[in-house]
Amino acid sequence: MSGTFDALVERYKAEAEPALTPPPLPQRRSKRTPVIATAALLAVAIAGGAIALSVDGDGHGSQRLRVADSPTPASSVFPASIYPPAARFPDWGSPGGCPSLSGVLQPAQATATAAALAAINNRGTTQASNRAVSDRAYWPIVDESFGGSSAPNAEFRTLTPADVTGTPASSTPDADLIRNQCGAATLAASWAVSDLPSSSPALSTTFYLIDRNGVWLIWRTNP
Amino acid sequence: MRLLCVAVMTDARPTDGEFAAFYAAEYAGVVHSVAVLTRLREEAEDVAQEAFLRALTRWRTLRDHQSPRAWLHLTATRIAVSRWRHWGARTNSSVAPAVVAPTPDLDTRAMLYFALKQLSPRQRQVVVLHYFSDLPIDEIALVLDQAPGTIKSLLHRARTRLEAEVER
Repeated sequence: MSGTFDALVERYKAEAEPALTPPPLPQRRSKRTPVIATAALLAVAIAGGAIALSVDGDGHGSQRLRVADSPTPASSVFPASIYPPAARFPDWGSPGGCPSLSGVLQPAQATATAAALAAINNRGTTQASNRAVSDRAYWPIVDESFGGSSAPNAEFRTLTPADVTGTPASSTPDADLIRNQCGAATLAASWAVSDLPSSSPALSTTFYLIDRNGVWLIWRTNP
Repeated sequence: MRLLCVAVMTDARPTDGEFAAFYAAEYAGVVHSVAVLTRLREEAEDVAQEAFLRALTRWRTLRDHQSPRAWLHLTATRIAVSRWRHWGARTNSSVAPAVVAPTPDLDTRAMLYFALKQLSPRQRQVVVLHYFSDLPIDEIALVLDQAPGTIKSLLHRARTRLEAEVER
């Protein structure tokens, strides 16, 4: 056997990335309600942190939700498994960043738009409720929006499926920007939903979302 | 790429320490081995996650297998080869792995990817298991339930084809 193929194999092995860190260990699947998704939904529902949420469990499936009426530490409401730190904040003219890919699922085309739309409609009118449906990469934009005394989303309208179009982010005009700044994997994992204001199409907004462990999160909007 | 298909559910229990050690020891190797089939490292990580998830669901029996490592790598290559077929059937799809991540080893990986593409799925699987997962022929024969001679023959034919492709 000549050495050409062997040389290629050796070169490939030598080029192996030295530090490939395994993501968190997979857990066994269950037919029960995903606790993280439940926690995230409740985080949306409590909108503002007036109710405290914590998850108790013995590690063997008997976890239960406990609700109290005291202010909530951010870590209880926003578990790191759903709200990990942003991957990076590129210098791209927006305070927002690129989402972490931890726990992110490939969007299913058949259901992505409806699921993303539910998240968009759950933004609510408070900073906390907006954060709850957003990846941490988007939180600087949420925080900036709520920097003033008024709630900018106080009058946002609820969108119906007829009001929007959903596509893979790779087929939007922002595809190259996202690929270059956040990477091909982020682009592939992102779903874009654009609203279609009938009165003025120029006012359309495109939301970019990811599905992290079953929870849909906004991570970018344009404009 | 279907990323990190990890489901964290309410009845998840403390994971077996043996499995945790197995996961930590083998994860990088599985990703790197199947990356020659997927080209995208992120896709390879997804394949690895799925393989480990399958391993976890049958860990009680797999831990007593003659070679859990061989089983794991075989499962990962099966998933990757299966997805390869799927991608091949929808090459116009925007989510097919036509997008190549700008990694430093792209040239080597691309050369291997296109060379392996010339092989049959079974040849491809055996080549990856032997040359990239570093599994001995006996272990490959064990997990594929084949005679070692059959594996040697598959490898020989695959190598001949690969050498021709690489030298083009």
